Amino acid sequence: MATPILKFQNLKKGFGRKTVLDNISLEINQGEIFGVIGMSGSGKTTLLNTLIGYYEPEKGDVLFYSKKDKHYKSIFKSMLEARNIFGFAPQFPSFYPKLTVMENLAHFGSLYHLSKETIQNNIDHLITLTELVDDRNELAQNLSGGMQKRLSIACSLIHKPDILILDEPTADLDPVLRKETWRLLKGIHRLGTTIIIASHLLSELEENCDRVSILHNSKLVKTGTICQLKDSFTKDKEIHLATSLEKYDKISRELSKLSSLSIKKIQLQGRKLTIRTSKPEETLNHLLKITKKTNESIIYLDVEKPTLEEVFESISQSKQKEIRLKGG
Amino acid sequence: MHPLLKIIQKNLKLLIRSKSSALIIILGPLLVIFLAGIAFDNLNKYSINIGVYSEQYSNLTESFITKLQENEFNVQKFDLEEPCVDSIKYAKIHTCIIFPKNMQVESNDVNEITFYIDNSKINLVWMVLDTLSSKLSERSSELSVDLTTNLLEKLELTKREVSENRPVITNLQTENQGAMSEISNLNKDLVSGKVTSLKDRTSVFKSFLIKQVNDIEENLADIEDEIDVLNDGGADTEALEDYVEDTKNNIMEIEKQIEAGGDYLKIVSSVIEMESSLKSGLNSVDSAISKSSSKINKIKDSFDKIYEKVQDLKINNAATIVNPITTNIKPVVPEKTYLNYMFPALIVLVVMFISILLSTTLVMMEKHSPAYFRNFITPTRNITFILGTYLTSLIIVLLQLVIIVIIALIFFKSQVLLSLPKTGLLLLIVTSFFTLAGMFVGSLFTSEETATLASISLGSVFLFLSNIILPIESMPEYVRNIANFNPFIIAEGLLKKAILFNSKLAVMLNDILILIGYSFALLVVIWLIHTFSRRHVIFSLEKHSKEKLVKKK
Repeated sequence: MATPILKFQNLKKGFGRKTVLDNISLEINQGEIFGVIGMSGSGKTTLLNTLIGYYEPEKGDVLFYSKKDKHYKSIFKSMLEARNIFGFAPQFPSFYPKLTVMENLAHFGSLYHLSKETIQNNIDHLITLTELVDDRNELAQNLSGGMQKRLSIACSLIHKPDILILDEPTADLDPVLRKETWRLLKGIHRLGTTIIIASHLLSELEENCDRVSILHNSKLVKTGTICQLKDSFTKDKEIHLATSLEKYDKISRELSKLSSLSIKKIQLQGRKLTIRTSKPEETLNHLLKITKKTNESIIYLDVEKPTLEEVFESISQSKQKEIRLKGG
Repeated sequence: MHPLLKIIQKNLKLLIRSKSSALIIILGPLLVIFLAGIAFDNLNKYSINIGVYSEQYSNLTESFITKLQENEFNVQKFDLEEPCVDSIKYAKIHTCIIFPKNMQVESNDVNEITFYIDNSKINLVWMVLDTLSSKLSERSSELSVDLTTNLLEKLELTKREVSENRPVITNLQTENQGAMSEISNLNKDLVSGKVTSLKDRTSVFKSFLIKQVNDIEENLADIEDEIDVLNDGGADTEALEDYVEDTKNNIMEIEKQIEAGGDYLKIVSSVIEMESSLKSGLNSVDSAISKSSSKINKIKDSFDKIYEKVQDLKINNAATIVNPITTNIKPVVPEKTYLNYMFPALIVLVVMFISILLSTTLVMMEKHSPAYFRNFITPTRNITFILGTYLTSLIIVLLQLVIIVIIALIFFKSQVLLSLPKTGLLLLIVTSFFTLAGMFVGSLFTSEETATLASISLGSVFLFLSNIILPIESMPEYVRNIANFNPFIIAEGLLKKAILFNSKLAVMLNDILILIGYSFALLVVIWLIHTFSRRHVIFSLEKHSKEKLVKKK
């Protein structure tokens, strides 16, 4: 069983009358990529900022595992030690635009009280890792968006933290740069760094995170692996079908007649027909028969669980309903 | 490397790489001091244009005008008073002087000279008035000296006359006293009965003589009887009779003589008869002489007093009487150019504005830097960042000061070198205070524009409540009391003492401690602001960044 590196214990934080984090309890294991998802204003950034000690909670605590003392400590009581185990890359660039890549890294390295040699070694490693070797003497303001993102992450890693926290790391990047960033994060993860990431780009989290927490209305709704989350949402599977003639109306009508297939949803999504059912194998057999009958050739066919996005939407909607019902 | 050194290094790099701020902050003060040096490095007064008007110019008025023209003043005569006054409004002249019509000293009229001035040129007004007044009072003094000389000459003449006539009065007094003494003796004689005795003696003598004569006559008659008897006796008595006859004749002669002496006796008698009238006459003469003597005494006393007073006049120099106290203004330091006198104020002014603006800029640069948040989450303490900003600003300002002092030494022969260690220490304290003041302003605001405005305003407040624009002595008492604690005034005073008077540090200790106290208080306040408002600043800046991003999208 994995060892938790962080423990959130009944964390509560509010701004004025508004509660932003309500009784959050959570454990993050060492070496995992942990995602935090939630709608805007759900409390993702507040959770991360509380984690790095930027905000102090009204109630509860966040404990970190101290390698030095071999036990858990409150980050709010051991702030200086805690700051050494966290690296934080906020959503926006967080370096000096008028300093070069090297100067930025050296500056932040010195703020962690590292020796000159350690800083130099870490810089060398990081500029290689982030592929900024050729641009090391370039002013940060002259770097491209992707490079700036990589520099920001490199700055967060200058002191070789155990935990890297990223807030929306790919939010304002194009798909190519997103892939590039994720490649970098995977590389960092491979070096043993625990990564906590908050993002609204659920497909990325679905693809890369070991575990995910869903925050909704200041509360932690679900935490688990992607599969666990999906299973908790539904046991159904989705069949995605694309045919040459695209006679999806006829296919839909034929399927609807077969009540034994327990079809929950038939929906056209783009040029593909999505069918959700608890009996995917039987449904597939019938689909093949129908297409044969209609003389259509299958271009694309797959069977999978619902996406994280759907799970998230569904959970959000059900929670909204609960609130409405409670309200009256 | 220690985080503090790295922070300073980073700040310096950021400043240098920000071209506009580098240009303004680094080159600005040097330019200011260079221009000020060129402007004030002289001893000439300003070129002042003066308008004059008089209904009728007398020699005296002309002499005043000549006196003004002797110096740097450009004097312009006007035909009427109004254009003269209007010319001040149009800035053609700096002041208009109205002389009285046909101004003369000989007349007893008050010679009032009117000045028209433009109070809006507040600095120039006092300078113009001061300079003009001194020139006019110079001429006025010359006139006073002439008049006093004249008076003194007359006084000297009086003194001489009094001195010469004093013996005459003394003689008169002596003679008068002699006469009085004679009269007194005479009176005494009269009183003591010398005349009466004469009278008595004369009477006794006369009675004696008559008695003797009578006795002789009786004796003679007896003798004649005897002779008759003898004749009867038949004695030869003829010779005896002759002898008697001769004695008779002699007696007759004595009687004649007594008769003749009767005139003298008459005189004596008349004298005796006149005694009372003489006595009263002598009394009245005595009284008159006594009165006259008393008047002579009074006159003598007056003469003596006049003489004494005139003699007592020790000042007999007209210039001394006109100006019994002459002022001789000597600079406590060797006279050099205005720059030397202004150097302490100028340097504090430059230090104040650079330090305040630079440190505010540095704080704002840091606050608005995308890296602000990252700095916050590092294990480096708040105070290290504060000290980093403070030391960066201090280094830049001190570097500029070194350049300024070198410029002042080379180009303007400033005397700052005399007290360099002391001045250096004071500049360090002064710079520290103003740097922290700027950091305080920077810490208070989130907007760069507001912070810059606030720092300029703070500098202006320090400047207005100092001696640079108006002497603080001319301010109301309560403002003056506050202004005395103005760090600018304290700093200026300290540098003046060090640079101009080379005073000891012990003399300046109080002021130094006040500045250090201010600095320490500011440091604590800045630290508190940083500790309690940093999160708020990051939050608001983050929000601002998000809004910007949304707009961009």
